[in-house]
Amino acid sequence: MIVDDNPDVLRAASELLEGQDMSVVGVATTGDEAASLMEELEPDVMLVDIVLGPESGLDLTRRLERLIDGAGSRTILISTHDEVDFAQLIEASPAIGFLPKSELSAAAIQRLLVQSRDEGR
Amino acid sequence: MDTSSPGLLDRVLLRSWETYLGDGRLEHVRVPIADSWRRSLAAGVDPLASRPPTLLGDRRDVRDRWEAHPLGTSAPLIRRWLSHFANDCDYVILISDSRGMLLWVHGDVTVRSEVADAWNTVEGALWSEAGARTNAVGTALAAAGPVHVRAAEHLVESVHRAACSAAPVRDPEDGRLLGVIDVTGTTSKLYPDSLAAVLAASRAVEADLRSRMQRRDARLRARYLERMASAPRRLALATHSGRVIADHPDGLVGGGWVRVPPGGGAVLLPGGRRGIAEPLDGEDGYVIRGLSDSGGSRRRPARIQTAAVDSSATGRSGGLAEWRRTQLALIRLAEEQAALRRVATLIARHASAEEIFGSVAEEVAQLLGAEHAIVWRYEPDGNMTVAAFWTTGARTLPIGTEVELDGDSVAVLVQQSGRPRRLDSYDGLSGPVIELANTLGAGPHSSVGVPILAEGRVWGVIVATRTRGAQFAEDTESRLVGFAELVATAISNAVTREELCASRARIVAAADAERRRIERNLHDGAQQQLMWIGYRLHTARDALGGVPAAAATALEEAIQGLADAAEDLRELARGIHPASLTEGGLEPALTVLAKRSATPVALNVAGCERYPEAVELAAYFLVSEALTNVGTSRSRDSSQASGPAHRRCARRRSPRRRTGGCEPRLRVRLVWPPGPDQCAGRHPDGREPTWTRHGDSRRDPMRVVVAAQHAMTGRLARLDPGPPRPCLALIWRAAIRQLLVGAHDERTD
Repeated sequence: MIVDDNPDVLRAASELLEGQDMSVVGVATTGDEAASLMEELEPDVMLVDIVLGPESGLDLTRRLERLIDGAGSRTILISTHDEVDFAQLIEASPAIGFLPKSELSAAAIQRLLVQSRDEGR
Repeated sequence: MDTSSPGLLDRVLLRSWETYLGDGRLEHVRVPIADSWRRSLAAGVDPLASRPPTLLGDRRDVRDRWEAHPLGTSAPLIRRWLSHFANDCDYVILISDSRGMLLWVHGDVTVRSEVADAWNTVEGALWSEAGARTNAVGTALAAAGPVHVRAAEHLVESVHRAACSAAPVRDPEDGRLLGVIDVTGTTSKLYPDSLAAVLAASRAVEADLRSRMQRRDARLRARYLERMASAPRRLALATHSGRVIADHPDGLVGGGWVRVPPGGGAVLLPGGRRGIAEPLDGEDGYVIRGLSDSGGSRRRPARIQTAAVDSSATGRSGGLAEWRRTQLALIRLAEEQAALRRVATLIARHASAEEIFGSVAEEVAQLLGAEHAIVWRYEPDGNMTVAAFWTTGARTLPIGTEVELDGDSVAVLVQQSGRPRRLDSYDGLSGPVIELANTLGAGPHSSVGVPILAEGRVWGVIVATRTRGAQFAEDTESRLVGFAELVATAISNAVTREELCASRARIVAAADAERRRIERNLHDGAQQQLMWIGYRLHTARDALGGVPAAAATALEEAIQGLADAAEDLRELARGIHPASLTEGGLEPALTVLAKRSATPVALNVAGCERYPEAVELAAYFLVSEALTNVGTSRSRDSSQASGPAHRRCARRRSPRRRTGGCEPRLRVRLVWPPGPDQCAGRHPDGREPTWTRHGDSRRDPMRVVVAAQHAMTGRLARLDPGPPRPCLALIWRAAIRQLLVGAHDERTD
């Protein structure tokens, strides 16, 4: 599932990931939409934009984590900004990692998931 | 002997100390220190024993002593002169009385407790030479002069890590020592100007005490010269210490001092004549009357003396009385002018409204010999509030006390008429204002009030009240008008200044908002567009599969070019407005700055909370600019930043420049919200609170100190060797002051 406030980018990103054999079960442009979709669809992983218009992706991440109630984080933060810009905030958030939007690909997501699983073990 | 580095100097001092204790030889020991060592050893002390100074009395005792001590009134002045050492150099300010007992310890809480733990520099500790051997406080008292004592110059080993400068303060009244002003820190910090600073502070305090003394003198003269003028005998006026402040024109005592027994009594006058000193009613002074030198009982000579003066003055007694009256008028005028000048100086210095009103109340009461003086502000709701109160009594009226503008009162009459008014008697009068006045002790006896006309209305009133004695003289109203005009000026100045600051703050805030908008637009528009194109290109590449090599290369190049463009745009957006600041506040934003700095930087900003946006932005760009400057200086060694969270500060040190052992440092310290030495004041018009620093009237709520300190000399120096340019601190302090008006509005909204 992808959460981004720009519908065009959402569509393009979904198409890109679908083309790389990753199924995008849902997309959301707001926090509320994301929260209700998550409960309904139970996605394996969620990509959340840090800057969600007036909302904060970081706050949303914390909210989503509370919803799944300690079942293990499934959020990856994404942004057009550099990782270093938000390093400390990402570190402090429950997300499993960060992906610059320009490097978005199914392979990169897989890498982060594997990495997080390894660390978790 | 090369003692150019502090470490080396301290080692030399230690050797001198060991030599002296070993075989009594004095090598490389400065004269005042050597004298003090001899005195201390003669008193029989074991220099190796850790002997903390004796503690006198409990905390409350010491506080009472401090409040009653003449230096207590000078505390704000001392703080103003030495705050640099306390705030920026991790020093503490110590004030002792004439015996060497510490009455007041001022400085950063952390530093104060560190120093107190190490050396027992707490209120009540006895730091005389008898109590603590050679040390700056005790030695300055013993030698009656300024002194710097560092490291092993302290005779007791447990104080070897201290570096102290102290200067004694003398009472201008009689020249006796009042106490000592001292700054103390550890030897690791060398600030050679500390001695000059305490000396300057002690001189400033003495000048302040002298001007207070002169005002007391003038008041005594004004009050008693009239009586003296009408007295048939030759009289002189002296202060409590016997200092003559007014003499008979024929010269009864010939100026200077008269030795007066406590409580008054027989005194010896020049030429061996005898006189008598009578204590003044309720005042700290004496009237001195000459007695005949032909002796006998006290009563008879007085009569003889009277007769003698009468006969000798016959024919010119009218002239004498005239002379005295002219003198009196001149003294009164000079006093009034001086009082007005003092208030005007405060206004010119942009003192806070509280300070200006307070000074007006005090000056008016002193000038008119009134028991109380109040500056009232009329409120739109039909009440009035106390803007300043001064009294000779013990009970006070807090600023902001509100009372209904009703019943019998000078303030009511002035408000109704817009003109000066008086009440020569309170017989049979009543009302809320009189009830309030009655709570202050003796009820009002007579009052006079003049309106403060500001902002096109009757803004308030200055009221002087006597609780006893005569009514106010006929010309009192006209004498008060000057004060009312000054207060009105101060009010309009403050209003204009507030408006100017507010409009500047609006401009700055608008510019900030515009930057944020541009950054958002870049993010939401161009950057997202680029992302979208990128995703489409990636998808196209994935979908195409095996295409001709030329097409694949072109596609890869387009993707790469797009990534580069996105990167460039990101850099641009970051410079315009840091997104991380909006998202996470100062801490993550400064972390990003530190990470991206060309110079390696260690940063400690833990504990930063979210502050008003304007404050965060100003602080962010301040640090950013500072780091850029560090980066352009020659050094590329290391950079350290530290700052304890509880002080809420970010402190940054620039790289060490290892040239000739010098270590320039760049420190940035942010303090928000205002610390305990700062307090909220009110706009003179009562509309909105403003932040003022207690004892320092400038509006400077957030202190931003950016100073490149030369570790060797302690002098401020520029970091880069380039041409001189304006100090960053000045620019930023000005900017932040403007910003804060807006920031504060946000907080209070």
